Amino acid sequence: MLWIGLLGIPLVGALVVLLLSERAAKVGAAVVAALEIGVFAALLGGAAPSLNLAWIPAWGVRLHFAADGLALFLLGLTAVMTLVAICASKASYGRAYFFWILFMEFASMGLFGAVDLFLFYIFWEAVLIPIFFLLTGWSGEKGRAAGLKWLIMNLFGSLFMLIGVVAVAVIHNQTTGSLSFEISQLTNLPVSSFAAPWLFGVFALAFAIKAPLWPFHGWMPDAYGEAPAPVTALLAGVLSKAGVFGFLRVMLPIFGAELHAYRTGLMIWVAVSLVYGALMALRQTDMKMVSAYASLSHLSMIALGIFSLTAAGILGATFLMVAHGLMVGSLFLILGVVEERLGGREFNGLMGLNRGAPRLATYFLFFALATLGLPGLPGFAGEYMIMQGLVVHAVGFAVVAGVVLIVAAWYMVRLFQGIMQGRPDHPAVADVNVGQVAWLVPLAILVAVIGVWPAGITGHAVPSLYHAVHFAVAQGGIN
Amino acid sequence: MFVVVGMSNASRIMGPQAPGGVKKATYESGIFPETPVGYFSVRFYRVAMLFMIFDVAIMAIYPWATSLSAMRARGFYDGLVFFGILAVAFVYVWRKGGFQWH
Amino acid sequence: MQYLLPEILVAGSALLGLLAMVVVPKVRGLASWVVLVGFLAAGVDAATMWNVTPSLIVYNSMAIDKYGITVTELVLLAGISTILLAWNAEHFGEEFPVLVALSVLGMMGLGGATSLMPVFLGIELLSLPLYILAASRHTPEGGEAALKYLLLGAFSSGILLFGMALLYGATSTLIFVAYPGIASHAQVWLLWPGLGLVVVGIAFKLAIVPFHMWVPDVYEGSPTPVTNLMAFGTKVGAAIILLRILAFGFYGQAGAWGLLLGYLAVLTMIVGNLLALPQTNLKRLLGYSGIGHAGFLLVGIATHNIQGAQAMMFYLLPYGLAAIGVFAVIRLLEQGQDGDRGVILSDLQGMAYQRPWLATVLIVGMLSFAGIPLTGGFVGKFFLMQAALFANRPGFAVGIVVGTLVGLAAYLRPLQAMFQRDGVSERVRTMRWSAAGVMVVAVAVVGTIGIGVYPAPLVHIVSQSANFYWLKGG
Repeated sequence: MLWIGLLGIPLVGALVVLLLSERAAKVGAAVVAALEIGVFAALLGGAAPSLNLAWIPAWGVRLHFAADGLALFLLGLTAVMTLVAICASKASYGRAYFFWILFMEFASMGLFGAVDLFLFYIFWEAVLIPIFFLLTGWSGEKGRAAGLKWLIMNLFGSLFMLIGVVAVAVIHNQTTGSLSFEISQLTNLPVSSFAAPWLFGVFALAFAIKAPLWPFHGWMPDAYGEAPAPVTALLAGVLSKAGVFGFLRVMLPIFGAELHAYRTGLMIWVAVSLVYGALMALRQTDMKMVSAYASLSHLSMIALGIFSLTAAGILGATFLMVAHGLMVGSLFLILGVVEERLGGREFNGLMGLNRGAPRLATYFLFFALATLGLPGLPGFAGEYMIMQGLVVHAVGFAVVAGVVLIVAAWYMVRLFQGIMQGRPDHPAVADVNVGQVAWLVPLAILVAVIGVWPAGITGHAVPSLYHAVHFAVAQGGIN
Repeated sequence: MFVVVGMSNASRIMGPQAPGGVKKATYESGIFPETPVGYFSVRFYRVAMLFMIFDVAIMAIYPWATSLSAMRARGFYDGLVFFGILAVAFVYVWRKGGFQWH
Repeated sequence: MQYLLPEILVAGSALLGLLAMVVVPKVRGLASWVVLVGFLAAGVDAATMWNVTPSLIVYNSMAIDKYGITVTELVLLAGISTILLAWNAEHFGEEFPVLVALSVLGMMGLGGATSLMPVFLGIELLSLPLYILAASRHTPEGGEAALKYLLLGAFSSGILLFGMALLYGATSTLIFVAYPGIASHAQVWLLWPGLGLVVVGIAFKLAIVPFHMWVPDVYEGSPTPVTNLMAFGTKVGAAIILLRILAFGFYGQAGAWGLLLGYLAVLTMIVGNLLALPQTNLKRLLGYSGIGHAGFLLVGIATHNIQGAQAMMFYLLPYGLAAIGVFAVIRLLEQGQDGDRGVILSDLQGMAYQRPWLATVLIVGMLSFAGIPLTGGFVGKFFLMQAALFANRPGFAVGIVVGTLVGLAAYLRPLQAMFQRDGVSERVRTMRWSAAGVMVVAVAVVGTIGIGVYPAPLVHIVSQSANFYWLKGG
């Protein structure tokens, strides 16, 4: 029942918003998103329910959603970030904009909840569509090209993944004689040694493009840069998690043995991605780009935790996904406010905001510090757990990750200095208004709470992660 | 086969040959070609096509009529269906003015 | 005989429409009504035959089975949408609905054919009215389209007929479902060329690369409703008869033709979609996309397994629904200023803001063509991919992916044009809704999304209709 609410409210709400007047659309969408948070709260309170219905019996495809510890807080992240993004959007964007935002909430909920591979794939591609239209319709002239790039690059990955999805099911059929897409049944497949790297590769490619990880981030600068700030926040905060989430949800059960076999290679790859993101963030002069590459670097950190194939690393990755979603999403929203106030994104030109808008500067500093991993804030807790996992048997990577954390502090401080400090060379700007405080304060409180009490999330995540890790252990994946 | 080839070629070799004269003219029927004929009116084509359609229908009706006794009632009614379709076409062409010259 | 009632109803409605036109010429549009009612009655009647035991009738040259019934329903959908799109369009000539009915009759005949005779009759009956319909706009482009279509159609019919003659010479029967039984003592040196020529003849109708060159000009020059019939109906007819001939008559030799058709399919998918990329005229774009989709259909035939046959049957409906949706949008735009002039991409400018509902239809149609989830097109592509992998041919699956990717950009360009903010094109501003157009559009959108969200009923239907007994491991 809860699942029907969780998926139905944004979907029906999106359609209802289309029927509202252009001006009422924002309020309507906010109400829908608030209802969704209510449903999530009910989900959090009760036992984790699941929905399991026959969908396409001929193919053994089931409408199977579950809110295990892996997905639970990503669902919450989606609900929270959607509401915040709606509040931060301009009412003048019109009802179609809010329709797509709510549709994206629906698709993300489905993506994080799906435990049937077919279903997972459906939502995996469904999340591409709203972003495409939001980029096409509600951003500048370059947004159209960015939207095209976003859709084509992502579909390039996911269509090849579709071959993988079908192939996995067909191989399962050839061994058991029945067709099923249930992820938990697709384990221990007798994949031939010829096919295994290819199948592994198509899944990894799709996940790496969606995250994005280096060198598949070609769409990222354009899409993050051109999209309206709330959309960027959702893109970086929620959708980028889908990529690394895929590694946990799909790869760990199905390709546990391959993950183990290719572990060193994968870790080298994401370590390069980690360093690349940090160095790129250091040399950007566009404030949105700094955050974009910082986000890439953090996602690589999460992936590093996953590929360490240790319980601590995977747990840290799960936690950091949620925390990073909140932090980087808020950061993009704040940057959106700054951009709106100053009309530019080059932070050489907009110095000294500290004087004119001290409260804005304070919120900005808070989220920037959280992102760079200040102890006491959630970035630190996640990174600590990942480091713990790395130290166990890959100290070299732990050293790399540690150096990158220092670089992270460097680029975040550079960003803060660039925007907030220094001599004000422009007319005074307005500080944050009441409407913005209304979503900034709860976000800040949420981040702080998660930072000081990470067990709230990890405690929920551990039982189901135990299962995920157990799978990998059974296949010799973890030692 | 030898006989056939032989005979058909023999007539060419042995027969009298008188080239020239009016033999190379367009028609051998004694009428000398005069001024070239202008384009046929498009009406000719329409009439020719309609004639073709109904003429071909007759070709189907004739064997039907001669073998009616063998096909019995079933064959008779099937033929009537064919007539019916033909009649609809006929009425259509008539009412559309297909049989009028102008 | 009662099993042929759907065909008789359609033929009867054509004749009645012809009579009505001349007997009561004062009542405008009577023929359209007659044909529409005939189509609907035929559709209902065909549906009631669903549970009839499969049997051969008319001296073993027509089959009554679920395959044929499904085809009948599909082509009737194409016919009905064509009639509705041309509703009240008197400048197409009053014979328009009658010719559509005759063409649909030919397609229905193809659906049940088990002998080469009804195959040829069906193909000719579906083509001849289309030659006339292509020119029903009385424009130079229409004339060119009709002539091109006529010449290439006649050419392909000749090839087809020659192939059939060779097959007859090899086996001394026209009933191709009997071929597997006599293939052992058939004249093999006649059989293979015969089969090759028959396939080529049908490939012309299906627009398989390299027999596709007539498509764009004909699609562009023909009136939009006729293009709709060509894109949906003809493709259904040609694809299903190709499957029936190959799967019934030559399944023993599938190893030989399967791979060959697979290469053609991959080539068609990629070339068709590649050529769709630079098009600016929407109908030409759809023409090339139709070529690409013919390649997808051919994958289902080339895999020669039961999943492939089912997938191909399945794919026809989402493809057709998306096609009628997009053609309806074009038709509605044509009802604005400058009449039937081709709709080009810049005519879509501002549509997303000025005409959001019309834009929604185009979005759904194009996304379904591109195979995005939650639309029927995705499930179709998924089904085809499954068939390819069950046949152990990953190359076909990669072909599907590459073709889809190439086509994607072509389908996204119209969508991006709609979101152009600077101004609204004259056509978008002056377009008018019509009740018939709204009906078509509603069916297309609801159907496309319905199949995408809950495909189980359609999967069930196609798994029953393409249920060839020998493919089930016998």
